[in-house]
Amino acid sequence: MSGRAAKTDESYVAGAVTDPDERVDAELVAAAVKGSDAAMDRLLRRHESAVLRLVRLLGVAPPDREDVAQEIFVRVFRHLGTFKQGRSFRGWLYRITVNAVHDHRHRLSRRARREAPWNETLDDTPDVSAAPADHAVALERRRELGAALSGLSARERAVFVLVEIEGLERREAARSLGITSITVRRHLSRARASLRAILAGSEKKTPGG
Amino acid sequence: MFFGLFGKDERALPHGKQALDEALGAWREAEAVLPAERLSSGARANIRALARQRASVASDRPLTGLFVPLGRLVAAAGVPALLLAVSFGWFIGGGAADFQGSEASGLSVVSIDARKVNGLAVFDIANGGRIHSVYRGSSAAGLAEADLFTKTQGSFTDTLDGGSGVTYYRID
Repeated sequence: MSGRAAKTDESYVAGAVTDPDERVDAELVAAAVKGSDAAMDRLLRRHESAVLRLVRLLGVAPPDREDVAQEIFVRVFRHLGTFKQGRSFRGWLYRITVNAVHDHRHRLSRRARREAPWNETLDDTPDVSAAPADHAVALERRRELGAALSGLSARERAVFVLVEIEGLERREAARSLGITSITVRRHLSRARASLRAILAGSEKKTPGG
Repeated sequence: MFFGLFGKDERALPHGKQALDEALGAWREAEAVLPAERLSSGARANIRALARQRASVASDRPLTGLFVPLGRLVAAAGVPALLLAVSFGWFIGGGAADFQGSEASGLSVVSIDARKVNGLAVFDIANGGRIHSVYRGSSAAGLAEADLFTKTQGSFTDTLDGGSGVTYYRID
């Protein structure tokens, strides 16, 4: 996946962003706040893939994903002025994404739209046919994990996705979600335990698979 | 230790642990070969257009957090407790603290209600219960120590002699 490698804590010490990607983001944010359309466009293109991936991982149904991503970026650009320089833009973006998906879920619940279930499995994305044939096993495993994610609560899922799949440090995930590292650890432990149980169960059902 | 804390013992599922690690490895492998997801050009155009529009109240309300902001909840829960404590303090202290604060700021909040009831002059002083000296005399000017009538902590009553003269009171 295009998820990033785990980052050291030093990148997030006291507002001093040392990560080159974060520095580029900070410069683009500063330019976009001053009204640069080019900077806004670069920010959008740099992060649209990650946002769409996260929206998918958090369980938004395929027909709604682009709408949710659109809502996220509109909010991001409207509130760029409130972004605190020195903080992780990616972390801020992830927080908006998680909360926007949560809002989307609530809207669906209110409308009781049965045609777009919340716990969407991930066996439908993205364009699996484009993958080389020798990755068929990996794709099957990926589908299984995606299905297993549907068995997690929204909070467990958000923490697991950010830490285990997106590769965020626990501390970074905690900042993104506005919770403590202890809460992250607790949800992560529960998520892992649930996923292990689900995957172990599916292995028993399909021995050798 | 963690078993009791988290309720589920991950060590009890060695096969599940292996399955999860394998699934995560396979996930990363699969994601690496799949094309990156992209927004449509129409969606990008919408984002640019909407981002420039003035935020409307309906569409731009704050997002609901997935995680409950516990710290803010605790702080919010503390507000009623604080109000109760302040009210209780006011009740116990007879409002003296507030009065002194106002006095310190140079403002006077003393008010006097004077009325005649059944041949009595009744004065109520809303002064936070502080002691005041009341002087009485037949002339408005020159009420001196010799004219000290009483000291009061909120109200006092004087018997009027029924004559036609005017009685003056000075309250310090």
